Amino acid sequence: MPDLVRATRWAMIILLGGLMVVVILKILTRGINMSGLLEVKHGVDKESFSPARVQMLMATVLAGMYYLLQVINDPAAGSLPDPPIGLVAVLGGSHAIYLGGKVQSVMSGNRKKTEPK
Amino acid sequence: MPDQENKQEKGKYVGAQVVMVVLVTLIAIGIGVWGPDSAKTRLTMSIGYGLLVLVFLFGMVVLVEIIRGNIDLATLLNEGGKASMSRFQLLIFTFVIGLSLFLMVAARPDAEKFPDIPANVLALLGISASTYAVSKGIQAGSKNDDAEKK
Repeated sequence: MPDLVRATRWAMIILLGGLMVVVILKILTRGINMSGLLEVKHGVDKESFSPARVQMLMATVLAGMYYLLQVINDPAAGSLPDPPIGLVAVLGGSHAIYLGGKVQSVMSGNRKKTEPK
Repeated sequence: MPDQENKQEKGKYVGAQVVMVVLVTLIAIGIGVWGPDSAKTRLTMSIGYGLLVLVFLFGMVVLVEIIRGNIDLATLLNEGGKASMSRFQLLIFTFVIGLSLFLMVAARPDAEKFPDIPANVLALLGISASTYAVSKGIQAGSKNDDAEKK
């Protein structure tokens, strides 16, 4: 039975690791389109630089790196590290700002369309 | 001509699937007949190895097809022709949690169970996934408004 457990572990490592590597390589080699990632998509400011997206990108990348460092520090623990409630709150806030910005840009676009010319 | 190429391609897939099923069946029978221990253990082992090989081969088919370009990931992060931040952050979170599990599992080769997942990690993934869902809802709502005005 331990052989079956070991084989399952390696199968999972190969499949998940392979998928991750392929997606990251495709992003790096432009096989996955990343243009317009930080641009406003709707409204009067369409295609302009979006600070709400930048702050969410930074919050997401920093939270991800923080979490990965926690795992790397103690990979042999029996459970994934518990992220601090502050981190969850910061990410929640960051995502709320992004969604608020999106709603605002969509509404400004709609308002502009209904305005009499 | 394209129809014939499609048929040949489909034939290759069916052939590969048949080979997979035959391979899995042979492995399962081999373990069941010549495996060690009691009949119950042999049955468990043959079902376990059979399912493992089947799932692994299906996964490898998908992975190889992605590498060959037959499964196109070019629009994985796209929303209306431009890259979407909500999709990208969901991808990052999924990879972070996936990589964390990968590292933990690889660091404990003799562990008998999968690492526990704390509630706050699920909350993080929940925030990430609901941001994507809400963002999609906002976009769909704006498209509907546009269609009604026209």
